[in-house]
Amino acid sequence: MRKKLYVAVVVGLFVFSCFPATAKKLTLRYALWDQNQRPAMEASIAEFMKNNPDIDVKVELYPWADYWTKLTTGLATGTAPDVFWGHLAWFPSMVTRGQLLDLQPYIDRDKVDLSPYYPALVEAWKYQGDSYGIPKDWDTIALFINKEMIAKAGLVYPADLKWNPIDGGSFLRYIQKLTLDNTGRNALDPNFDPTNIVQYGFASENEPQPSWLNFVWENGGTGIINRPWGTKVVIDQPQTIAVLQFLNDLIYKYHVSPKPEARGVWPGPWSLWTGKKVAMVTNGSWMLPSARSQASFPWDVAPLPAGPAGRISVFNGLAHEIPATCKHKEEAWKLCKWMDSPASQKIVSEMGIVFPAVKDLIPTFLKAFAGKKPEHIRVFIDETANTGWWPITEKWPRMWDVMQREFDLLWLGQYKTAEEAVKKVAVELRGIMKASE
Amino acid sequence: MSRAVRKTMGNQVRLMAVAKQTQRWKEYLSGYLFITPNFIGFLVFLLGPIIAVIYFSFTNYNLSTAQWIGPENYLSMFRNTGYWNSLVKTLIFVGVNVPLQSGVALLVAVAVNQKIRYPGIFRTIFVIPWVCLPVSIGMTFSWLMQTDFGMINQLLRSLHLPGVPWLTSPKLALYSLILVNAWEYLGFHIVIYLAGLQSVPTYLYEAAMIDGATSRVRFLRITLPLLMPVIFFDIIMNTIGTFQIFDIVFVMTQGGPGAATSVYNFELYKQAFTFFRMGYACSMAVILLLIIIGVILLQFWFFRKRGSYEVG
Repeated sequence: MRKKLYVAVVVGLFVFSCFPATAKKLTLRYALWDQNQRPAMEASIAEFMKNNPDIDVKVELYPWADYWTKLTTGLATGTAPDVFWGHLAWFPSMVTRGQLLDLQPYIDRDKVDLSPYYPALVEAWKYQGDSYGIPKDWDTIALFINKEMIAKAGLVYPADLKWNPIDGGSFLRYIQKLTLDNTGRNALDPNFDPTNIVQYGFASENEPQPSWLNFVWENGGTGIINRPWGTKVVIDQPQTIAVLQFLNDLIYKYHVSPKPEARGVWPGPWSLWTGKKVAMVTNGSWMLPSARSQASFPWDVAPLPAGPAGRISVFNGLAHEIPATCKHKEEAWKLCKWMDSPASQKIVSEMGIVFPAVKDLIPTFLKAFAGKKPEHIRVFIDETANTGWWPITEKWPRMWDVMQREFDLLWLGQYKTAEEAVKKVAVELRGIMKASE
Repeated sequence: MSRAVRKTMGNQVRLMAVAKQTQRWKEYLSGYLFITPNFIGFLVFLLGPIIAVIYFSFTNYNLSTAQWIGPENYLSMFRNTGYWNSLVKTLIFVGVNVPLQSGVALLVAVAVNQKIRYPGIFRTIFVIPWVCLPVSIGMTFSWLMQTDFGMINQLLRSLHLPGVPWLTSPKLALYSLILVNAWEYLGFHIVIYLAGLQSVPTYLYEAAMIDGATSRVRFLRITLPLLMPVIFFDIIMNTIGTFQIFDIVFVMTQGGPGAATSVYNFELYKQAFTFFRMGYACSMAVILLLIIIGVILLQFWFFRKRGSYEVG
């Protein structure tokens, strides 16, 4: 009799526990890649869940190296997260394959006001007139400088360096003074020994976004393609060839820049800068957390050197996206709309980690950032005055494959002139543009 | 015997035969049932995907659509110089790595097999690289082989020798990778040869030494012939593995400089996961399968007389 009672109680508990105690709650999956931004995103998500008690948001973080393979396979199998971080480099291939949800009908229906955002960012996330993402944040490029080396060379903060492809301008003279051989002579010294350099002034690298694309625009070039989503390859303009030749001369003619190393896990010139072998390097504001944790010396940021056509920086920004196969489109839209809204970006700005896409929140960001390194954080914000776009085309992966291969050889000194390399690349790029796939 | 008795006996025999047949049938059934889990695993994770790859190699699958395009992928593959480059680089890699690795491993195994003071220590030292993660080996060597600031070149410069552009010279990079790869898996092959050497009877060596054979003669006339089946096995394993080289290229050079180290599997990976040309990548995989089968058949033919223990 007692045994039957025990069995009945256990079965009863088991059956009872199968029914969820709370009301029906919908779970949305949210994916991102940056650990540094996770606390800010979670703070904003917490606010969202407070205002939407029937939705539960699960945050999934995949490191950058794994994020895109996970996402692309998820999109192919219909198991992608409901709201995820999008990047302009991958946006064209995803949107042309119909993998993203068109947000324009939702924006129109809910009358979402896009005027608070930087207009260039809003345009970048559009395809054939429809928005597929509302801008979340942005980044620009600047010079990361080693204050110790600059002080030792007797130089002042490089607030306004100028360069040109003919004689290098004040920029070249500045980095020549920062390049030292093993006897302490700098590159302007007639007895300078270029075979025994212990410190380089600058690191020129084959990366368009952090490096040469900025210089191309500053020299009056158009870039790689004629405009976002354009189909005309313009990389062989004389201004562009002059830039690549100048950046190469920094290595082989003026000896102020180290030769590049193999690609692969070698992080490139950035680790030479954090490793105190190079005084200055150009890179994007997304590297600020790396600089804080890896640079063991006094450092700061400075404006990009200005070229004959002025000071121009590559502009890039993330947005939240929804997969076309999302099973809970209305709820995902609610989350997406919130995460990119000015109210949410205010919460994120108050943590001072990433620049908000809402223009009026910049003062909030600066207030939260006060006292943190680097001192001249405003440099990144000032650069937004004059920016250019990451080449937006669905053929980018194949085009970059060609450019990486041939320009790597150029940077390694395997070509006699930059013109040869650029002309070869242009022919291949035009072939890729014409191909149907 | 009466008819009745014979009939009963016949019935009994028939019953026994049927019982035996049912018994045998039951044994067969239980045998098949036992291998069913393994067979299902084989179908789902091995045979199924292989058939799927062969199917997709005739489509233009790009993770969103898949239309049948017949031999288009194969034709565009053979027209692509990048494809032939990756094939050549891989053949060079296999051609240098397999003899180097297996040859050195054999010599080291013979040396370690001698009566030295602490054989265990030596065996452990040689096996350590093999148990390290390939990615961490790649990263470490990337740092060591750095042209300007890497330790290997710093050592050379301190001896007044010029630094070597290990990974930045298009001519040299592939061989640097082969070196790292050979070092990494040497232990694996040493272990195989050590095991093989255990089966060579010592009395043969003793007899040879009495007859005045030098160690070189002992190696060439006793060790090598008796070890042939092990060498055969090892070379096949080495070839199959080396044809699929990928991780060291991905970690150390990403196929560069230029296309100097763009081996077959790296090119395949690029086509599949950077360009999303899955159908094209599948056709590359099918051709690789055929190439490896071809090379193995060649090796079987080469070793046809020497590879087995049949005493003639």
